[in-house]
Formats: sequence, C-alpha cells, structure tokens
Amino acid sequence: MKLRSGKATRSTHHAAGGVRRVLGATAAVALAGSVLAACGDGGGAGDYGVAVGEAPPELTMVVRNDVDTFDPMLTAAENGATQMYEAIYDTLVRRDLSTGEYTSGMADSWDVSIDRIDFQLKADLTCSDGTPLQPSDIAASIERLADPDTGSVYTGRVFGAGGVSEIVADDEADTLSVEVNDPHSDLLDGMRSAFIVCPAGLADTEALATEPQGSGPYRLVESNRGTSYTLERWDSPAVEDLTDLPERITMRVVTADATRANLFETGQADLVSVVGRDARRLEESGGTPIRGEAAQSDALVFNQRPGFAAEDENVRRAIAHALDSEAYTNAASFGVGEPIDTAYTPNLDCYDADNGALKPQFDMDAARAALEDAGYGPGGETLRLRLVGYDNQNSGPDYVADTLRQLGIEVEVRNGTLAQAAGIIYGESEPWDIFVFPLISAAPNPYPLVTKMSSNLGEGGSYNFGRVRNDEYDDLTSRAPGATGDERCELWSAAEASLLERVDLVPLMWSIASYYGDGLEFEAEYRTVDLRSIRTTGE
Amino acid sequence: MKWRMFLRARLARLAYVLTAITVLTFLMVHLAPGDPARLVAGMDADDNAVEVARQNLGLDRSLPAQFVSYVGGLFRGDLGTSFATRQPVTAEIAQKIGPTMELALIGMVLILLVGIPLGLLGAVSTRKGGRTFEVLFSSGTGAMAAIPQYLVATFLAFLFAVTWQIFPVAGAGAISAAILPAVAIAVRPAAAIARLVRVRTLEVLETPYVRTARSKRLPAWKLYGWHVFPNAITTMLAMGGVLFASLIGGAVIVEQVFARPGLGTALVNGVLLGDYPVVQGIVLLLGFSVVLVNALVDILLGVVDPRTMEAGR
Repeated sequence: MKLRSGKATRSTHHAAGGVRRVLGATAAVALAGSVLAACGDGGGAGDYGVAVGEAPPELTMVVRNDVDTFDPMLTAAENGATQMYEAIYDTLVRRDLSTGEYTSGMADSWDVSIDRIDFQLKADLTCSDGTPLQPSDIAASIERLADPDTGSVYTGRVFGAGGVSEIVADDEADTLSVEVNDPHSDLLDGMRSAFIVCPAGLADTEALATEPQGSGPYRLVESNRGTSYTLERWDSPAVEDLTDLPERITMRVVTADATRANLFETGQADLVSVVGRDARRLEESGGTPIRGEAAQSDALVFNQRPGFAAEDENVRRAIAHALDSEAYTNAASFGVGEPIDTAYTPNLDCYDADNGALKPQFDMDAARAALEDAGYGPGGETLRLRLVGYDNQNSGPDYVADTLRQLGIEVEVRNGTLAQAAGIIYGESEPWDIFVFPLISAAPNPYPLVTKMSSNLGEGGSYNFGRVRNDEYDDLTSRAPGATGDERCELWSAAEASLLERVDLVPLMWSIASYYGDGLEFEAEYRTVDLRSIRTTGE
Repeated sequence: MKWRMFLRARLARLAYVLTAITVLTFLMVHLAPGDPARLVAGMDADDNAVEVARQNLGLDRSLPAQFVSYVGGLFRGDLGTSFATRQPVTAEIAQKIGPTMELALIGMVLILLVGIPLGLLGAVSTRKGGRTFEVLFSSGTGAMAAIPQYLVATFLAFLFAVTWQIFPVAGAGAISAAILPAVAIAVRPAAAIARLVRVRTLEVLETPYVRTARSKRLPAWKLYGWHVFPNAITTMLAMGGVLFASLIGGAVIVEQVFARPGLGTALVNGVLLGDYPVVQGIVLLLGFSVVLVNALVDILLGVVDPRTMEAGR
C-alpha cells in the first residue's frame, strides 16, 4: 500500500461534463456524471511514479461496504460487491461512461435486435486461473443467470420480464447468440450486468460464494473479508490495453463515511467515496468531488391498498404539496444529493425534464385544500399515517413527519435499518402508509421502475408492493420495452408522466456519491468507479 | 461441603443465564421486523429471487423448526452460516475476535495502569488536604466517566489521526492501530475505577489496622503497598465483570469509528444486513464471556472473602 505523509492540500481542477436531457448516447454521457476533477496533494502525481495522464501503477481505494458474495449472480449489488466484480469478472460488452457508447468486452462485435443479440467473441479467451474459456462456457454462465431458480437480481434486468428462449454457442466460430421471449429494447445494456463465471465456479457454486472464478482483468491475491482485498492485474486477452489499468489495487472496506474521509485526508487512501456530510468537510479543505450519480430518484411511495388513506389521490396530492424536495434533500443527505422533481434522473435514458412540472409543487395552502377535499382537516376527521424510515436517510423521515404534522396529520414514524424497512414495505404483516423509497438502480433505463409500479407483472413481494392501480402506466410500460427509436422514449416518458399526474410517487432526491481521487481523474457511477478510466493528473 | 453447595449454585445460575441468553438472542433477531432474504437478494430483486434466497437461507421453515436446528447446531459447535458471506459463523468469529481481544486487553491494561494509581493518588491527596487536586480529580473523572465512548473515539481520531497524524485513521494489525481505540474504550471505565479506588482507599485508611500500622511508623511505601492497597483492591475484583462488559460494549461502538475489523464491526454490520446467524453468534459469544467472567469473579471473591460465599449461596 502506498502511503503518503502530510495533510493533503488540494487544488481544484477540471471542467465538469454536463448533464443534459437528450436521448441515446448523450444521455449516457450524463450517466457517468462525467465530471472530471482531481484532488492532488502537495506531492503531486510524482507520488505515483508515472507520467501525467497514465494509470497509477498502484492504487488504494476504499469501498463503502463489504463484498457480500463472490458469486456475481447472487449479490445484493451494493458498492463493495459491484466494484469488486468490475475487477475480477468480465462481461460481453461494456459501456464507456464518458461517451455513453457500448464498447468491446469479451465480444469483439455484436448485432442486436429487439429480442435477439448475436456476439462475435474474442479468440482465445481465458479465465484468470489460466483455463481456456470457450463460447459454450460463456453460454453456460448466461444460462445460469437466466434460470429463475438461480434467484439473481440481474435476471429480469438483463433479459426482460419474459426471460430467455434460446442461447446458442459455437466454439469453432467463436459466436454466441441470446434470444429472449419478449421484446426487450434494453437487452444490450443488460448484457453489461451479465458477469461471466468460469467453469470452475459453475461446477461448485457453493465455493463460488467465497472464491471468485472470473476472467476479469484482476486476480484476487489476498482476501481479508470485511477489511481489505488485494487485486493484481494479469494479462487478460480480453483487455485491449493493459496499461489502462493499475497493476495492483488494494481495496479497503470502510463503512463509516467519516473514516473514509479521514483516510483520504491523511493520504492513507487514493480514492474514496463519501455520501454524507463529510463530503462538505473534504470540499472545504479543497477537494473537488467527482459525481457518482444514481440512476433513478429517491421518491415517496404510498400504500394504496383498499382501506388505506393513500388510496385516495387527494391524500397523496396533499402529502406531495407539503414536501419540499430541497428541504428533504438537505435533511436526508446534508445537501450532497440534489432535489429532483422527476422519477427518471437526468443520467437515465428517456429522461424528460418537462415531466417535473407534473409533480405537485411545494405549496402548503394547496396541501391543506387537497386534504380538505379528501375529508380531513378542520371539520373533518384527523388523518393518521404510518411513515417507514431507515438509518441511511438521516433526518429525512423526521422532516417528512414534521412537515405533515404542520397540516394536522398524525404521523407515526417507524425508523429502523434498511432490512427492517424492506421487511415492512415488501411484507404483508405490518401496516404502512408512506415510505421514501431509494429507487436507485444499476440500469440506466426506466425498466426497473416497472417492477415497483406496474401491476402487469403481478403483485406482492417486490412487484407493485404499494398496489398501484394505474392503467395508463400499465399500458405504456407493456409497450415501451418493445419499442425502438423515438417511440421508445416517448412511451417511457409518457409512462413517467402518468405516475406523476396520479401522484403514485413523489420524487424528492437524486442520490449522489461524491468520489475523491488524490491526484486522479476518473469516471464514476453511484456504485462504481470505472477502473479503466483512472488517470493521474499531476496535481 | 460449603464449597460444593456454592459451586453448584453458581453453575446452576450460569446454566440458567446461558439458556436465557440463547433463547432471547434467537427470539430477538427473528422477531424483529425485517426480511433478510430481501436484503440478501437485493432491494431490486424480483419475487422469485427473494424466494430462492429465503429457501437458501432456511428461512422458509417454521420458527420452532429453525430454533431446534439452531440449538442442535450449538451442541455440535455449529453457529450456522452467515447470510451475507455464506461462511460459517465460527470462521467469521475466528477471523474477527483477534482485533477485539487485542482492544480489550490493551484497554484493560490502560484501565489498571491509569485508574488505580490515579485513585490512590486522589485518596492520598484528599487525606493530606489537597483541595485543588481533589476538585480537579472529582470534576475530571466525573466528566470522563460521563462522556460517551464514541465521542471520545471521534475526538481522538480527529486530533491524533487526522490533525497530527500520529496514529493510523483506521484498520488493524499494527499495534499503533489499536492505541487510539483502546484509549477510547478505556477512558470511561478508568475514570470510574479511579473514583472507586479513591473512595475505598479513604475507607481503608480509616480502619484500625491501618491506624495501627501507621502508629508503628512504617514507611509510606510499606504502609500503602502492604496494608492499604491489597485491602482497597478487593473492591476492584467485584467490579471485574462489570468492567469486562463495559470494555466489550465499548469495543462494539469504537470499532466502527476506527473501521476496525473486529466483532463489534461485524455485529453492527450483521444488524444492518439482518444477518441473523452472525448477530446471534456474536451476541452469544459476548454474552457467554461476560457471564463466565462474572462467575469466575464470584468464585474468586468466595476464595478471597468466604463471607461472600455465605451471602451469595
């Protein structure tokens, strides 16, 4: 591990890539939150021992939580795990976070249609343990991912609701084809989440939980669960230019925001992310963050089951009018996130800023009027709501509760861990009325919201847990995955509009992770840094 | 005969407490709201993925069936498998007990090295009419005993790790990484011990045998070292169990501040993730160790002062 002494004094740098509402590739530019910045210490990039603009030979980065499992199909996909998979597993295609374009992974080229994708694979692919990786091996890995019995969080995201109809591999021709049952316009994007597991891993999936079997650019050479991991680059034939990647990465696991900030400030880490108030501290000491933007907003959702207060649109509207996105964002993220009026965030495909006007704006008088229309307030009965919150939301739930109490609503707050909140929201045993849901998804497209808001896929569990009944949304989202060209985004945009008009959700905050690199620039998403993009700045 | 009855009573009480800890720990984590299968599968997971996770974790069985399986495992030394990492809980604990024990041991040494001499000094000073020192002692130890350990830890980290960079910010392995967390967990109990030792020493100084020893014009080191200290220190023994529990409790919080990969960090992460087996395993281990230390202290007290054996039987 490279250690540097002396308190880091940082200079600000670099222009920020914009976030613009356009379709296709430009929208993906924003996906990366492609703000190039760097935070160099007094020692400058000389500390890395390479010329400016090259990848640092060694890197100490700190992730926000531990790798839950080395089986990339059975992960909960949090920051630690996804960052690790980026290093030790490979995918058929990748996405360049700076341009939004799909780039070569294990596949050299591909031909994609609405329900089928044909890959021409690179020749002589191997696993990091040196065993050959044939197209049929890759097909076996994809088959496991597609199998509903595997229980992977990625299955629906990669292949769509209908699942896979056929996977065909040709070892002689180095080709692979995947065909899905239902039209799925995000099939290519889904494939960048399909981490390929080597045959040794598929042969013993129990051992895979603790012993990775991948073909990615790094080998795991040392593992201290919950503490740190050491990764070494190997000569993977799937990587076009090995010098794009650091030779050695030490990945430390630190869950406390303040401690990650301390490690960076004292030069004991080269690259960290901070999601709370400590980002302000680092900025005040001269650091300029690189934004890791979440895909999809944190939004207030309602329990619309018959007999529950939020079944009434006037109640939902009253609550929506009472909440100020900016105040919520300050309370929930100490201002690190950004207030937002749309469910789709600007880095998402089919983002439409105009839809923000459809969300009921902050207006306490309008809130009182809507509440009276619903039969509550002066002269009516008292509205009682059960609000579910969890620890990562800081004071967000308190803000919501206090604001609603100003309307005369009695609010019972149930704060707990995310596990407890999820148990209540997804379960049937405990009543709830409102919850600010972290809709954050790894997919930069609107599809994941369908599982939460549509009744097309079924009900219960993660499907439509709030029992939303929005026929227009159901209709639009049944057609959008099969649409292409301009029609695709028109349908997705209209679907979001229908949710906002009916107040089925109230977008409040766009979650941002602030990444800090010591004399480094790179591209980042909310949960991951693109390891191929890390470069020294000399500052 | 007296000893046999005393030990039998102590062992019966020990068995009762351990059984209660086992049952309560199991109920506590299983009856708390939350769905570990949901978190293991991911917040984004569909129904099928959550159901597969539930089956894999054994959570689709009834609560009594899970309890029977759990207790059966305990008798075989099997604490279950972590939901999050799929590793045996015993392996998880084995990996993480080192940093916590290191912290507890250094903390204990600091408490003894600081708390006892400070208490003796306070008593001597009071007896000699040192009013200023007495005020400083009382207010200082009172404040130290009242400050929460996580605040002490945060303050120490800011001062010694971030500002002056004398010690590492986080981690484990090097002894230097254990100093700040050990000080953080030791400050509060050391202050409490100092106050206790001072009061007890003042009492001992008023006893007839000390007055007799003083009348023999014994040198101070002999008077305090042979007569006062051994009598005052027996009180400390009774505090041993409480002290140990305090250290363990402190370690759980302080490890988080210093990202120390010990049992405390694992416990907090286990609670956040709904990782029942890890939470149960660590709580059981910590609970067992505190109960065992208390039982040992009881037995030692019985040896040192047989009157306690009579009273406690």
